[in-house]
Amino acid sequence: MSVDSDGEAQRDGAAKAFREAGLDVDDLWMHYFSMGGDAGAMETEAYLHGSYMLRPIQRDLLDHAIYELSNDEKQ
Amino acid sequence: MTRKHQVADELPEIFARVSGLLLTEPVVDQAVAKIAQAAHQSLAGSVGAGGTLIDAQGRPTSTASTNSLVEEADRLQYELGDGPCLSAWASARAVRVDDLRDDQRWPEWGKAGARLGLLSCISVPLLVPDATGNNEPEPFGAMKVYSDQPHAFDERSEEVLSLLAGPAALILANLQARERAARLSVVLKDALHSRSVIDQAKGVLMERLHVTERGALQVMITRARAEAILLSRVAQEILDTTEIDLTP
Repeated sequence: MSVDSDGEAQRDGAAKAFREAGLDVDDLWMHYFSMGGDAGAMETEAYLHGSYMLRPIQRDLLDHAIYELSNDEKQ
Repeated sequence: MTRKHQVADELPEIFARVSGLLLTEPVVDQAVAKIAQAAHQSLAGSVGAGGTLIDAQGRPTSTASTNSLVEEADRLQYELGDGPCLSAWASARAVRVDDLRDDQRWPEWGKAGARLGLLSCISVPLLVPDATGNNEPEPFGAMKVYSDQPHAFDERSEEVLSLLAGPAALILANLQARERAARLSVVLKDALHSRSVIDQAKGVLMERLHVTERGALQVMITRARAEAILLSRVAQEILDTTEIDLTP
């Protein structure tokens, strides 16, 4: 599997989790930023719409930001 | 432009929004009180005027009035959950009550107001223009004038009060913007703190476990999910452990 297809699979998963959790994109970006994310809000939104690619570590951070916001009862 | 620079470009915008460019609360209260005073003095028959901010749930959040009688009549409305000010706010239209003693729309409030000696009133909505220009102006409060005489006000009084409500609305909208900015500032401070803690913990793990940056992050994420705790807490625990390790 090429690096790109890894990235695309992860991106598809993130987009699906984001839609299913019904999160606000600004809230998500702020949470991702608070974890050390360094992509801008516009890049993050474009990534979730499948028109931009983030670096691997940024994808991992965004995945976990979505995870934490959709399970926000856990402190 | 690298990604880091793109974030750097957005931060000044965020900080500009939280900066002290906006009016302070006492200044806004004073300005609204002055506009209320102007309404009181321009409308014949007025015994008092005031302005109130109303939140999305119909609760008053901030108020300025020329005297305690106005405040009391307002308080009654919000206690009863209905009245001309709430109606002016909800409908975004001016509301006039010619005789509080026999008004069919708000009989309970009217009778209570009449006992305070208030017999007629006008309320106009405070409207803030939609920033995009695509939507209707949004009501976020009301200005009102009371009289101790029935039928003290007419269409002309409604027009005058509506004209005064324009600048009052702009000033009050500014106060709301400042409150939002204050909330954003707290969120941003927390975000920057958590970001720094996570970055430091990542560095500690990279050194301790001889892993890459992504590897260190994976270790922390795995632990956060296994223990059902936030990533920032995992990071804090890693830093706390480091401190203990270094204690002689």
